[in-house]
Amino acid sequence: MPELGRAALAVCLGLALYALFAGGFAAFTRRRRLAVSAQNALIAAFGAAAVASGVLLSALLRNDFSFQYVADHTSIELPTAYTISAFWGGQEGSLLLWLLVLTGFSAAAVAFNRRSGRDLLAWAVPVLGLVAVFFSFMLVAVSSPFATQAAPPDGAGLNPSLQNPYMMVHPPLLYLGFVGLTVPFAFAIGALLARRSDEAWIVSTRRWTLAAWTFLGIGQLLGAHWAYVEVGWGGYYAWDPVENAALMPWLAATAFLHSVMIQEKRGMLKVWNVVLVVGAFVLALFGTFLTRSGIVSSIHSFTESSIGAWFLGFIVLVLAGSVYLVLSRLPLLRAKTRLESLVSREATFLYNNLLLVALCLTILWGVVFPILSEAVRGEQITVGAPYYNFFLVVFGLPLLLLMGIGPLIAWRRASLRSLGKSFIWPAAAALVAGVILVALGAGSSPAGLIAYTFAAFVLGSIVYEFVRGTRARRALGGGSWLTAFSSLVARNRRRYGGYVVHASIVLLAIGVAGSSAYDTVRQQKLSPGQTMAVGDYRLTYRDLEVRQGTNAEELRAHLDVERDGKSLGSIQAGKNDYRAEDQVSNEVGIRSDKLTLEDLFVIAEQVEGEGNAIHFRVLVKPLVNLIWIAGFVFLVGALVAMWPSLAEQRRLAERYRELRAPARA
Amino acid sequence: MTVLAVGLAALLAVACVIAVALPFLREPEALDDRLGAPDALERRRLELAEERDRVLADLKELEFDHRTGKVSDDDYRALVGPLRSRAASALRALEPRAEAGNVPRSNAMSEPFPAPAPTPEPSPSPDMPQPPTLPDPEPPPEPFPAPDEGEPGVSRTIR
Amino acid sequence: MARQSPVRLVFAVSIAAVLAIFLLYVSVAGGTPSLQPSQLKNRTGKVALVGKVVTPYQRTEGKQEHRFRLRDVKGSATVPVVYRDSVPDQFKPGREVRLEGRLQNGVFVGKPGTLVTKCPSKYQAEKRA
Repeated sequence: MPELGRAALAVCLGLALYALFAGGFAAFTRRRRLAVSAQNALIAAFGAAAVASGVLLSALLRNDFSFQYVADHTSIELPTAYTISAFWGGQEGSLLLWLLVLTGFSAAAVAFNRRSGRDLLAWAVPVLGLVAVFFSFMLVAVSSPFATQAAPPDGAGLNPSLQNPYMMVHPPLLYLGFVGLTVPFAFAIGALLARRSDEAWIVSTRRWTLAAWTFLGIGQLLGAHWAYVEVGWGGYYAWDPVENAALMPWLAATAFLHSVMIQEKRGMLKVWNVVLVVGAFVLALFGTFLTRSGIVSSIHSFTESSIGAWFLGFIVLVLAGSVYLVLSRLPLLRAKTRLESLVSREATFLYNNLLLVALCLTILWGVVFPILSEAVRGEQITVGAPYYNFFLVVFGLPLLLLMGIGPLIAWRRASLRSLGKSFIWPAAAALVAGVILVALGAGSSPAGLIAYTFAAFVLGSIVYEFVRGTRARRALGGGSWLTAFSSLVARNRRRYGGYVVHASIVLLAIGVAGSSAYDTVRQQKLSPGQTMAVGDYRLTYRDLEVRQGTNAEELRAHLDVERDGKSLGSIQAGKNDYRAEDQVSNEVGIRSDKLTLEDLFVIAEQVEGEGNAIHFRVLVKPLVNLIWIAGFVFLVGALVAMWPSLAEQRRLAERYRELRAPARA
Repeated sequence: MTVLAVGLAALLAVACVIAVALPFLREPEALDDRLGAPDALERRRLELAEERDRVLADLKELEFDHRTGKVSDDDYRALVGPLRSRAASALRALEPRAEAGNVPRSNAMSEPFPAPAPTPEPSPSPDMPQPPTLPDPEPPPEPFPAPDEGEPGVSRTIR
Repeated sequence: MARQSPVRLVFAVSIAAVLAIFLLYVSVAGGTPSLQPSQLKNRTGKVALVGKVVTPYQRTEGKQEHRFRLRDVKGSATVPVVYRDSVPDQFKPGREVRLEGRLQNGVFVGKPGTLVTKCPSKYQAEKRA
C-alpha cells in the first residue's frame, strides 16, 4: 500500500500546482469556470491528502513494519492510542498531518466563501495552493512517510516520555492553530492581489483567525501542563526555542485580533493589519522550521536534516512576495481617518499592539541571537530565562493594565472626567486588593505585587462593564437581570466574549505571578523516617516501594504530608525504569490544594543505594492551578466570541452580495 | 497488494481529474464566463456600505455607552450631532432616491432610522436636550443594528 | 487633533523606548556563550558547555557529585567536568548535555541546576535537574 500513499501525495502535489497556476491565471484573466475548477482542485487535494493519511494510519494500526516510519515510531506492544499518536510523532508524519489540515481548511474556506466575494476567493485560491505545493512537495520529494524497507520483527517503539494522553492532543491542537493562520493570510494576500481595499477579507476570515488563535492558545497551555506534570522539573515554561515557536505567532495573532477592530471601526491601520497577518503566518512557518531544522539548540532536539533549508527558502519567498505586494498596493491602503486622541479606545488598542509586537520581537531576537552571534562572532551566545522573564515583566505588566483600561474608554475620544468616573470602582478594587496583599506579605516581590494589583484592576473593570451593560440593557428592554445579561452578551458576542477571554488572561497572570514570584523551593536529603519543612508543609519520608508496572519497574517514595499540625494524607514521588527502552522517567508527586489552589510539588531527584536515602526537591507553588482554570475560562470566552449570529451573517452577506450576479449561479 | 494499490491510485487520480474538470463539463459553453469582480461602481458601493455600517454601529455604540455612563453627557452631546449627520449622508449616498417605506422622511434632514422597530427604544437620558442643529420631532428609535449586533426581525434591503 | 497623525509619533517613541530598555538590559546582563569542549581553551568566564558525555563517569555515593568528561559532539576534544547537583534521569554516557559553569584549573565546574540533557531522536522533550 505504500504505493497508494506515494501516489496520493503526488496527486495532491499535482492538484496544488493546478490550484496555484490555473487559479492564478483564472483570477488574472477573470475566467469564472477556470476559477471554480481551481477551487475544486483544492477540495480534491484534501481528498488526496486524506487518502495518503488513511494509508499511513492503517499501516500504523496494522503494525506494518515494512513502512520505515511505522517501524521507527511504534512497536507491537504499544497501546493503540499511542500508535495513532505516532502519526505525528515523527518528521514525515507530522508534515503529512500539516498537509491534511491545510488542505482541509483550504477546502472549507473555499466551500464557505464560494457564494460571496468571488474575486477575493479567486485570488486566495492560488495563495492556498502555493502553501499546499510547498508541503506536498516536501512530502513527495524530501521527507516521505512512505519509505519502505524489509520489515523487521518489531519496531523501535515510542519514547516513554511521549506515552501519555498529552501526546494525543497537544500536537494536533497546535497544528490546527498554525495551519489555521494560513487562511486569513491567504485572504489578506488575495485581497491585495485583487486590488481590493475593503474589509471583505477580514469579515470572511474573522472566525478562522479566532479559531486558529484559540487552538494555538489551548495547545500551548496543554503543552505547559504536560511539562509541569510529566516532565516535572517544577515549572511549566522554559523559554525553550520550541516553546517560543508557538508563542510568537500567538502573540502576533493576538495583536492582529485587536487591530482589525480598529480597521473595522475607523477604517485605519490597513497596512498594519496586513503586516500582522503576514507576520503571524510567517512566524508559524518559522516556528515549525525551528523545531525541525535543529538550527537552534534546544532541549527538544531534532535531527539536523536538509528540510530546514527548504523551509527557510519558502519563508524567504513568502516574506519577499508579501513585502513586494504590500509596497505596490500602498496607495490603495491609505487610511482616510486619523487617530483623534491619544486617550481613546483606538489608542489603547494601538498601545496594546505595540506591546504585543515588542514582546514578540524580543522573544524572536532571543531565539535567533545564538544563530546571529555564531555567524558574527563564531560562537553561539544564548540568552536564558532571565532575559525572557525581564521582558515578559516589562511588556506584560503594562499589557495587563491596558486590558483593564481599554474597556473603560470610549471610542474616538474620552474626556478625562468620564474616564475618572469609570475608573473609580476598578481602581478602588485594585487599591483594596493591593493593601490586603501587602498585609499578607506579597511585598516580597514588587513585580508580583504589581501584577496582582493590576489583575484586581482588570477584573474590577470587567465586572464593572458587565454590570453597567446589564443595567443599561435592563433599562432598555426590561426583564430580569438574567435575561438582560444574556441579551447583552448575545447582542455583542465579540465584545463580551472578549471580556471573558481577558478575564482568563488575568487569571493566567495571577497564576504565573503566584507560582513564580512567591514560590518556595527546598532541597534536602532524607533517610526513611526523616522530615523536611517546606513553607507551611512538613513532609516525612516513610519508605521506598519498588513495584512492577506494565512495562517498567516503578520506584516510589512514600511521604506523609502535614500542615499546621494537621495530616494531609500522603504523597508519592519516584521514577519509572523502562527496561526495554533503557530509559528512566521522572514521576513527580503533586498535591493540589483545592482551597488555596497551590501545589505541593515533590521530586525524588536521586536515590542512594545504601539505606534508601533520597535527595528530594520540594516546591510550593501558590496559585498555580489558576493557570489551568484560566484555560477553561479562555475556551468559554473564545466560544462566545466566535458564536455565529444569524442576523450578522445575513447583514454581511447582503453587504458583500454582488450587484451583478453572473449569468449562471 | 500492489495491483490493488495501483488500481486505487488510478481511481483517485481519475476522481480528482473529474473534480477539476467539473465546471467545464457542466457548462461546455458558458454564456458568461466572466469572473464577477467589483468594478469601480461596485467598489464605491462597497465603500459606502462599509461607511454606512460603520457610522450606524458607532451611533448605536455611542448611545449604549452613554446609557452605561462610559460617555459623559458633554461628550455625548459633542459627538452625537456630527455622527448623526454623517449617518444621514452615508445613507443618502447609498439611496439617491428615497424608497417608499424604507426611509421615513420627516424633514429635510431625515432621521436615518427604519420606521418599524420591534421594541421602540425610549429616548436617551431625559436630561439631555435635543441638539438644536437637528430638528428632532420625536426621539430617535434604536439605531440600525451594527454588524455584530442582531436585531432579529429587522432586515434592510438596499436597491 | 493636529494634522500630523499622532500614530506615527506614538510608534516612533515606542520603538525608541523599547530599544533603549533592550540595550540597557543586554549590556548589563549579557548572554552566555555556548561552547563545545574544543572551544573552551583557557576561557575563565562563565560559559555554557555543550557536549557528549563520555566515560569515565563517577558518581560519589551519598553526595550529589558527578564527575565525567564531555566530548565535542562531532569531534574528539574532551574536558573533565564536575557537577554538584542531581542530574536528570536521562543522563548517562552517550547523551548530549548542556550545562553552565566555568573552567577552573583545567576542570569545568558546573553551576548547580543548569544541566540539561538532550535526546537524539525527534520530538523528545527532556528534563532538567
